[in-house]
Amino acid sequence: MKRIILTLLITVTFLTSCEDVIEMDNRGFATAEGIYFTESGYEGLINANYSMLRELYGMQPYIYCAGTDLYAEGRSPEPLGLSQYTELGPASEDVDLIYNNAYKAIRMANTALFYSDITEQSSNISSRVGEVKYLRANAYFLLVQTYGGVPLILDQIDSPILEIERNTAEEVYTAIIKDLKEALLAVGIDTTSGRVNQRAVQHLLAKVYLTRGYESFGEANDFSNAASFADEAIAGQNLNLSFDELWDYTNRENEEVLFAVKYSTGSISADPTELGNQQARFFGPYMGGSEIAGQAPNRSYNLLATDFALRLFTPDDERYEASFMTEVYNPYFLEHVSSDLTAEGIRDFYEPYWFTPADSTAYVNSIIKLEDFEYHPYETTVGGIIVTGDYETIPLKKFDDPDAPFGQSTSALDIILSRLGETYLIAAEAYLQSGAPAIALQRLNVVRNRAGVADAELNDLDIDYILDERGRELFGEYHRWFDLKRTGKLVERASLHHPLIQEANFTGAAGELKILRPIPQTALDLNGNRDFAQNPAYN
Amino acid sequence: MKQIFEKVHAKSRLLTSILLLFFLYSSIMFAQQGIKISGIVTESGTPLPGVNILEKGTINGTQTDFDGKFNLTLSTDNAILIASYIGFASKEVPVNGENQFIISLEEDAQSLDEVVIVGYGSVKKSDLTGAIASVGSEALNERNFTNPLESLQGNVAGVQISNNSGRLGDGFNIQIRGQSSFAGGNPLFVVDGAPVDDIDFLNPQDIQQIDILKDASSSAIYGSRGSNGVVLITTKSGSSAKGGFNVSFDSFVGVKEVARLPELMDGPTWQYYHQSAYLATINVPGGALGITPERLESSVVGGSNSVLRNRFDNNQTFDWYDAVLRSGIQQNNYLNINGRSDNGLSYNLGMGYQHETGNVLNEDLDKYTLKTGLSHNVNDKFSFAANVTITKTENERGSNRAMQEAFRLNPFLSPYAIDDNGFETNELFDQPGKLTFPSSGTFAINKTSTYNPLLQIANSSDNVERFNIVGNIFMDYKFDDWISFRTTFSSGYDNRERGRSWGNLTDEGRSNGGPLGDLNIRSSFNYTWDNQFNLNKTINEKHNFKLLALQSIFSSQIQSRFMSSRNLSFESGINNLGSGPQATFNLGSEFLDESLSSYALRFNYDYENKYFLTLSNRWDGYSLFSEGNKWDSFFAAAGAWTISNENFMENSIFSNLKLRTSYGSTGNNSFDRSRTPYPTLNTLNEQLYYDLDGPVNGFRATALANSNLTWEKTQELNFGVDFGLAENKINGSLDFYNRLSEGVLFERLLPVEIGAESGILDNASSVRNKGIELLLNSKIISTDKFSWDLTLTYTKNTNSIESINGQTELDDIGNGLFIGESIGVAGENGNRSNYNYVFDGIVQAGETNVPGGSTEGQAKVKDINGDGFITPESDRVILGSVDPDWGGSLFTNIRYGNLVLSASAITSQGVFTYSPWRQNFTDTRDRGRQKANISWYVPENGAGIPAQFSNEYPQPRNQGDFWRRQQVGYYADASFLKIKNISLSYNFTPANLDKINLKGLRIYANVLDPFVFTDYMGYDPETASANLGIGRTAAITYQLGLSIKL
Repeated sequence: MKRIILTLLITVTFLTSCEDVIEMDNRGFATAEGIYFTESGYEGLINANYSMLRELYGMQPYIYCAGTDLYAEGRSPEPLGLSQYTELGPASEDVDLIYNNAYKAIRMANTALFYSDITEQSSNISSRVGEVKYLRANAYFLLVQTYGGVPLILDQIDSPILEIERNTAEEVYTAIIKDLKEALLAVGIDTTSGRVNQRAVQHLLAKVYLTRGYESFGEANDFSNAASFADEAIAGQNLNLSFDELWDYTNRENEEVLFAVKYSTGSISADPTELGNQQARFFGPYMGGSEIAGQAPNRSYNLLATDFALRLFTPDDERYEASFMTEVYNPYFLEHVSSDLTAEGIRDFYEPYWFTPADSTAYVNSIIKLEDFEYHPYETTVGGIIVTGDYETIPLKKFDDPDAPFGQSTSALDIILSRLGETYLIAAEAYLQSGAPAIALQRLNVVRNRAGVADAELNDLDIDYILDERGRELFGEYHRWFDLKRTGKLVERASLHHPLIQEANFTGAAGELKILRPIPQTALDLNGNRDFAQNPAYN
Repeated sequence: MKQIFEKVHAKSRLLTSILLLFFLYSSIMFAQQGIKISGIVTESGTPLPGVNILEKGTINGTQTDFDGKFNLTLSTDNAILIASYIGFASKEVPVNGENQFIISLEEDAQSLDEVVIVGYGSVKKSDLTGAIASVGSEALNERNFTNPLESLQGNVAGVQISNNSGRLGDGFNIQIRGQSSFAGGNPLFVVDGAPVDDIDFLNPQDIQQIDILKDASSSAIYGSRGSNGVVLITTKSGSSAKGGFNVSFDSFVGVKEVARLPELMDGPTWQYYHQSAYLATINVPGGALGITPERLESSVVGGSNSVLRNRFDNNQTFDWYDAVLRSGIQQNNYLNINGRSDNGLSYNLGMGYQHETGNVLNEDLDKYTLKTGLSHNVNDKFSFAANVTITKTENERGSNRAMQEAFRLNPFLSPYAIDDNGFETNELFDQPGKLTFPSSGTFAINKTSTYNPLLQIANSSDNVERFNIVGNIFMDYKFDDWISFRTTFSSGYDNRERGRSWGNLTDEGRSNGGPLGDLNIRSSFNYTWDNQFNLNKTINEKHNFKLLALQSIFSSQIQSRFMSSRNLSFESGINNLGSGPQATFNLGSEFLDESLSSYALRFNYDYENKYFLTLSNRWDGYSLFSEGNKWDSFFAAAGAWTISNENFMENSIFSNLKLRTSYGSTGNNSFDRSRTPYPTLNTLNEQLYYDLDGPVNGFRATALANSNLTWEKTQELNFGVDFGLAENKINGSLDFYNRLSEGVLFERLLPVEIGAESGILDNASSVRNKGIELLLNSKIISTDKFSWDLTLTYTKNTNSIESINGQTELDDIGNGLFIGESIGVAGENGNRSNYNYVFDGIVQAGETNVPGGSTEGQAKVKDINGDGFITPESDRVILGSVDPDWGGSLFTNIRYGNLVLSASAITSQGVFTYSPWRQNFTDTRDRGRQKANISWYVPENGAGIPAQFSNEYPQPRNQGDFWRRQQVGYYADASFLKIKNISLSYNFTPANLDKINLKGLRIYANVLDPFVFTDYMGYDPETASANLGIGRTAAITYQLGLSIKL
């Protein structure tokens, strides 16, 4: 009996300590509550907000560029819906790219704003809040342009909400402008740090006003506001660099960049095949598989310059040579990495549209030709035609990163979102639309002067001229679909200039036009609100 | 008397509980001198040591010695001897004045005296109140599978076991009574008291018995971990050792031949396919009719495919199946030594070695097992035992994409380089679809840049080394006849190291500028400490009471380490990761902890072995839930009535008839911790990178935390009947169950606008499973010379979602949840959900105004509501469920003399799934890859190739959005009937063996998976939903083996 008691006693003693056993033991995972309250943790949260830009812009850019007058597919099919509108629906490939990533970014921004009041206070907080508001406004601006009115979520959400309501586009624009105006008062002025700065905010504000100006709910002074914010962003700075210098891969952080998605090899080293961006992968022909690693980029053979795009350039336009790789040495990257190419042979030459037979002969006789030299006649170098071999169409070289490992998401070069050249063009468009074509012409000609082409004349100047100029200046940059949609020229210009798009492609359900992209089906399926309306033309 | 008791007690703890009943009868024993008798016990002529010989109605008994002999002094007149031995049918022999006996016992897996492990104890099968299935060592090993779960497949009604992928080392899925949980549907596996993640590491031959607790009243004793059922594995321990010294050796070799390969296109068919795939993309006036043969030829062949053209003309093809597949080999060797000495010490030692190679090059698996079991009955009060199982598994998984890439290569591509004349050489070429002439470097074939799979296989490695130790120690102290205390310490250690590497001559190596590798180490350690009091009391010889009081703690830690680097200086695999540049180093580590504190009570009562009652309750506290949600309790009650023990049943045809009914509640706290490690906390699980004047980083939470998280709770009602007819010649059981799981743990995606892409883990939905299980055994013929047994199982489970997010009106389409429908609609393995449009054939020429706007050659879908439009709201329907409608199995055994023929079959019917295999091999969007031998749409054209108006597969490169994006064409019925094995064995008679000095010898031939009946197109219907890269081809295995007893 004694032993029973003893055993029981031992057991009971042991049991009393059992509550400690089920204490949660989390040694490795930082929690939001634990980290975001500290100054360094909050900085990390801000960094994470910036990093969301990589998710928005670092992927395949079809939703920004495809289905316009400038780009068409080559050997690989592009997402049919986005690029040709024929089979565009809510489940089409890549239509959800902006929707998903913008709302991820918005969630991060809402979290940062939520913690801004309660975190350890420091002198940086107010500018950080401003930066985050810019990032949130940018995400909403992408959303509202792409999908129209979308749900406005401006608070941190920490419990599952099942039903989401749609807001009107007008409400979204109001929220964007509010965020940007607050950001403008808070952010710093340094354009070189990579952070949101006043000129970047002004640039985006100008574009937001400009875009709203075309909308039915636009306000009377939207265009003039756009013009004055653009001028403020320009801040009297001229375009001092040559167009070629602008795209030197060793000098991507140049004086004309107001805001960019920042990359560097150090910041993608954790997984250089996933954490880099895809910008260098498009706008040119396939050049081979992994056997060309280190010698040429991994190219998808998509978003090739259309005949229309190439014919926008006049022979004297410096931007043509600076944008396109008209002559390919062996290996492809040689032009970027070698300072002296005089003794190098040429392996591919892409004929410009203005070449006469005599030009052609003269050119061929003037160069050193490699054994497998190929002369690509102009008609074969454009997108939207049948392409079978590699290297057939003219490659864009603006985004080439010779240092990137071979792969799809490997470029460590910045993706430029706002640069001075575009600010001038925004100003030009804003002045034109606000009834001041003379000032518009001035702004436009700054851009043309740098390109070495003759000034435009006042009677040439209309919205089409500005869109053409944007095509020349900003080829490959992620603006085109928004430009055409903003100016109401999407259907007209895409069906006129894209070889695979007919006007009828735009006609959707009930005769509505597929202007806005459809709300992604995944979003509709996950939303408990069954009255959430799909965009016109997709029902 | 004391001596006898000691001897009785010296048996295993399993036997103890059986003998306890006999012990209870001891009050009616007569102390009387009697005559001395002796005898021998044999099993088909072989002496059987360690058999219990008991004088019926007394506790007077003994055991047979090493030679199977026994001596006993009888204590009663007209005595009857009972000879009993675990796994054998007991036999009663009247003494009738004789004093020499030869008793022969027969093995009997289905004996009613079989002991069933019920969790923290055991009962006789006849005393069972819940639904528990017990599978013994013999049944597990008779079909010669090397994986324990495959050994179990088909053995138990209500338990669905299926192959994950067919890839060597990938394991099996098990589901008990349907899927109730979304997160972690695995049952709780307990090996000798220690919970483990899986049991793949065990050698089936080390297993004494597997008990599956199916109904909630049985698994409720495991409380918060019991919802998905509990699988208790008892390894062969010291206490299961037979008397004396026994050695046995089992060995088989097998050859695994690739079988039932799906038919792919032959050369001319593929050429036709490839040509036709250009018709949709050549833009000329007049469409396909405007394409001239010359235009087509220039697109298909152009200037850079001269060798391809030649191969087309000569139909010079290459068999990629042949190049990558091979015969696999299986080897299994198992040595067992066990024994029992007179001083109460017994032991069991097992050593196993399994070697297996896959049907794909560079895949193999080696499993080394070492098993030790010791038990010692020190005296009549104190006993202890220890068990350790040590396993090392080395699994080379080869390349996870080589097979897929190889089978995708079209038949005109060969792995070899060419010379300048275009003739094939013996050298492997890195990109067969980008073939060049060696001197000029110009293209001979210019199609696809797929990397040569043979080079990929030869130069890449994916190696998993796993080291497991599972063991326990227990001490049992008997204070008095009616009360004992046991403390058990069980522990499991599982270390997995996965190293992957790619050499220079791989696609990865080339892209990354040199060899690369990574190493993942995950080590988990857990321990369980159970303390239990067992009380036993019989009152008035009729009322039997038992009480279990348990206190238990469980604690588990998992540590993971990760490292990788690129641009390695040497081709050193994963063995010199530091040789890469530091900038390429990547590190990670993780720590996960969970613990459980528990108390349980279980009360058993029976009246005259007729009426049984079990009540239990368990209280669990769990570390991962927030304060206030940490504790919960789980109650169960069960009763049984053995009608056949009633007097009025004495002359009925029922030799056994028992009704069982039970109710229980259980919990489930398992979820995928790799996704939501600490779900009640806002863990910042994703690191993000940026550059702001230098690299910076930050962290975010991809999921929403849920501080209210708690257990999923299941309540289940079970009705069962056990029956035996004609002296149990026909016996079996039938169970009906109805279980409702509420607050099911589900990692639910939230509206996209919330921006948390991993969603939230919560308890907001409920699911019901209802079903029937039938097990039927029949000894159709049973004579000395000839016998025929048949066992049949049937399982039907209906799964339905009762509520979603706390409401019962609205479906959650985004998560694939539909009120009243099966969870299986959501699909499997992250595949597309089974809620989709209905494929309705191909739009033919001249067909206009097709709803949804599909045009000629494209796939069309059904306009369900007939409004002339195809809209997501009204035209998507539930196509089917991956849950089978029903399943079953059949085992049969025919013995003629020493020759035994046996066979088994399993079936799973009404399985509907999205098939990644179809998605790849019937995808006509792509034109350069090999395809299944299908008929596809080719329009009338001017290019001179024949039109083909298929209504099954769309025109290449013009599939239409429904085929391409909604993927309506890739679903398949994956129902099947599989003959799992057919074997023929011969048992040598003792007379034959005496000459070679053996106690037993059996030789056999066995064929695994010889026949499959299915409509599924692909490798194996069982793995239809497996990811294409890892899903493996089907195989037939031919084995030869022998089993020796020394």
